[in-house]
Amino acid sequence: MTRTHAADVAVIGAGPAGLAAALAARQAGAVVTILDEGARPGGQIFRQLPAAFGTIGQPAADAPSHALGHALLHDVEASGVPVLARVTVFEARPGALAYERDGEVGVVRAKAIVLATGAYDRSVPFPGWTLPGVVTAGAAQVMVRGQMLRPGTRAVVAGTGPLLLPTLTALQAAGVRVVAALEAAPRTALLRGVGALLRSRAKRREAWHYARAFLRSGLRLRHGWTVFAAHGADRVAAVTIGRVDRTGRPRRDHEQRLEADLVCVGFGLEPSNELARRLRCTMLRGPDGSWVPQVDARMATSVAGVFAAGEVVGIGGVDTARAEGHLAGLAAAAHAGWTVAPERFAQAEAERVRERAVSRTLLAAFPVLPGLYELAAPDTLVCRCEDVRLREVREAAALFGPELRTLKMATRAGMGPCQGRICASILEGVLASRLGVDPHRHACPAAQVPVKPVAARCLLEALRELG
Amino acid sequence: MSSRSFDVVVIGAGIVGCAVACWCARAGLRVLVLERDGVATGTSGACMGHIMVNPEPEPLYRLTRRSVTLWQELRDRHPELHYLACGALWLAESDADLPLLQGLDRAIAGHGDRAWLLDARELHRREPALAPDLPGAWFYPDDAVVLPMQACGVLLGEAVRLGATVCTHTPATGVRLGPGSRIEAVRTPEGEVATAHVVVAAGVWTPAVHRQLGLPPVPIFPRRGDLAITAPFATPVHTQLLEVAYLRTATGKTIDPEGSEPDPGANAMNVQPQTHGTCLIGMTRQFGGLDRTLHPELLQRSLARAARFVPALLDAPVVRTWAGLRPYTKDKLPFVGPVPEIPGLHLAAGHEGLGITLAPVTGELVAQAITGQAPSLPMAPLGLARGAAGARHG
Amino acid sequence: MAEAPGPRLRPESARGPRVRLTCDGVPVEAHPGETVAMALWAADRRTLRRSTRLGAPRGVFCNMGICFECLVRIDGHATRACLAEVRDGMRVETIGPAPEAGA
Repeated sequence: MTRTHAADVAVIGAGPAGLAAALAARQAGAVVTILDEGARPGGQIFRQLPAAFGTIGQPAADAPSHALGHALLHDVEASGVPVLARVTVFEARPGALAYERDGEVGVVRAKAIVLATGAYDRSVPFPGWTLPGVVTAGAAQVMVRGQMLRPGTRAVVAGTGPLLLPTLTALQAAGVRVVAALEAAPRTALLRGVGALLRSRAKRREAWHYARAFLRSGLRLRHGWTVFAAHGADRVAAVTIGRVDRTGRPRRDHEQRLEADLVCVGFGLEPSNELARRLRCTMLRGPDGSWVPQVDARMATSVAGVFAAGEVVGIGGVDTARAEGHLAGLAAAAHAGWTVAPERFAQAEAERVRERAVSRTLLAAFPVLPGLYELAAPDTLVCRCEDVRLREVREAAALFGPELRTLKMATRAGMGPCQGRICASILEGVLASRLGVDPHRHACPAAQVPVKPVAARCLLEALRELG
Repeated sequence: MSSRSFDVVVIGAGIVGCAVACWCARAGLRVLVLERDGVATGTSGACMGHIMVNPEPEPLYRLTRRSVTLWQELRDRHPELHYLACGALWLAESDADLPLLQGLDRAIAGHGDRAWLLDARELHRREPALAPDLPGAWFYPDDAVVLPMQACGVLLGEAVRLGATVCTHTPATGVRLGPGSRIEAVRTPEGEVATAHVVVAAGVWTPAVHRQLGLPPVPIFPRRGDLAITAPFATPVHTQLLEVAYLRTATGKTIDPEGSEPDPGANAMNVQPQTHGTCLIGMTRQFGGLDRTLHPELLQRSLARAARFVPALLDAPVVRTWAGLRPYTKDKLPFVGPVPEIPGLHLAAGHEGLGITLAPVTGELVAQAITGQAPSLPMAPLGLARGAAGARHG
Repeated sequence: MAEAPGPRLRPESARGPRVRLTCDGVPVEAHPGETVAMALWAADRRTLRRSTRLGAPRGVFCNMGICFECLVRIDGHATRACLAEVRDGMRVETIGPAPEAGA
């Protein structure tokens, strides 16, 4: 028997946006259910250790934002809002969701849906990036802060954006020797980023926390450097690093080879937008080129009863996510028939506008550097699932034209289980940098059921239930 | 388009257009492919990949058999082609289906061809993941499965290497006819292209193309199918599977695609393993115009039917689902060859569910017609005239 | 160089009782609350599958359920190792061409 739940508001994602949305909707009177893929609520940023670990404490000192996280988690727990953990939502229609958990299907029917699905690391391909031991920055944080592991002995951390700092401090706290910390963006980006940070008290404190930890570590963040290649037979054993110009294009004049058994890479974030695409929300290009659902002043998407908040509507960080989640929760409750006082909306809308402005500036300080897509060699894989090399994409583009749909068909890039989550931005990036194809000519890819791979029996059951 | 003059202009870059381009280029013709969208963005980007001999009726056997042989030659010529030589099992669900298997066997023997009737024990030895109660099957060894879009790329790639030109996002907007209604040129938004031959290989969009170009009507009707595919290395079976009872429904009461009643849709089991162990699950059939929206209810029935024959499929992770349109004709045969009223106009469309199978033989026949060679198979059953005659009687 | 300390931070005793699972038949010890991917990582196993066309080694990449690189068969069901928590007696099998144990 399929488990079915009814709610006024279903919130997908238990990070800061989702938790804040659930709380706001609950406080407005709505019956709320949270669905989250993780074992415990908190999302990627307020990551909690497994309950079975007991009270062994976090390896890294809590950042100020974690106090906010603890408060949100506490309030959600106190509010009695149920959190369906370890569930993968694989189908969404306005008013109904289907999820899989341990091979079983559940259906949530809700008057309003809040998408608070967060984001994940943007990947840029370089030779050797598919070797075991090369992981995303987020993966390394999960290892340390979510699983209390020391993931390696000698690590190279490379990428761009403010999230490199928490990754570095987590690795250091875990006793990993960071042999190189590489920020691809030039130092001026950091200064612009600091400018943005200074406009927000919360971000100032957060930045100070990580900066202090970083300064104490004695590490040097090398600006205008990145990882050029990872080497090894069946796992990473060494890396080549080098300098890049202001656009991220590799300069071959200062290459160095370092021994490392762990490489952590994160070139900014991209939104987890598959449910928004599945719900056929109107999608727009965000300032970083990502596809995000269009939202109005109260976080409503173009689809009635579907709201979105946090990283999924544009990378913005924890404060923006919380503010937007709060607003989306109020709007979702109002959509479900609960009364929300106009002044509460006004306050929430103003806070959201303020936070989004800060995060937009910060995001603009660390743009996606187009030249980084020149790191890939002809034999470098651009699609991990289907083992598609850059060379094959170029050959297909020469034969059939540079259209994404056709290239996917001809090469199978993007046809595997990641469903394009990792490789869609990579294909756009290499087409732009290698062939001069304007990314804006590509349409937003449609998403069909299931938005994440799921056993046929679950798909069958969900289609039976939802019709 | 650097040149303004070609021997043949192919309209449509699906599998049939790609094959026509390939065989015409092999014949030394200067080929231009016009595609209003991208390569394989229509039916060929949304279909199954069977290369399959149909034992009946006679004209279809000859066409499919010839085409399967041409596919085997393509496989030898293009090692990069994802071609899984898996054969096909036509499965009986119960003893009541066994006469259908014997009928297939008699038909294939009548052509002097070979296949095998398998009893339950032989069947389960070959495919242990099949439901244990299945009483038997008919196995045809030469059938295969390709990845349709990749196959389009291989065929078009060969054509391009032989000098063909491909213009995507370039529709044909008109034709210029000379004395005797002979084809003289094709119009595109980028100008006019002189040519003596036009091949319309636009699948379900062929009637629309003919309307646009002022050419004779073609009775082709879109028939949607809903599909699901698994992750790599998830297939529990290694042979293509069809339920033989499909033949009974296929020859029974047929829905009139021009009728006023909405088609409730139908489904039958067709499961195709692919190279790298993905498994494609079909098939559903429904007339409903050019709408390519997935029909969840039919897909659900199709998955359930597949699980009836292969219970282990229920555990396979599904990565994608989608819908595509088949170009259906009333007598289940495609329109291939010259259109006599308009000298220089050729049709290559209406292959319904056999577009991948029949693309090479279609390319061969069209190239033979254009170069004036004798056709390798009788063309009469494939002419537009037989469709027009049928329309007049009906 | 001094021998590297174990991969688990803080005393292992704080993690609760050991559980045993197997990966392609090889026994692996772990603790409740650990994910399958991290238990295998801690056991120094990096390769979780061989890639689809090239048969190249692949392991944990995103560690948060996005990339499906760590898709394994757990007690017969295809599951992302990074999201599944270990259980005593769990049977993990890698998926893909030529599965290799202990790579």
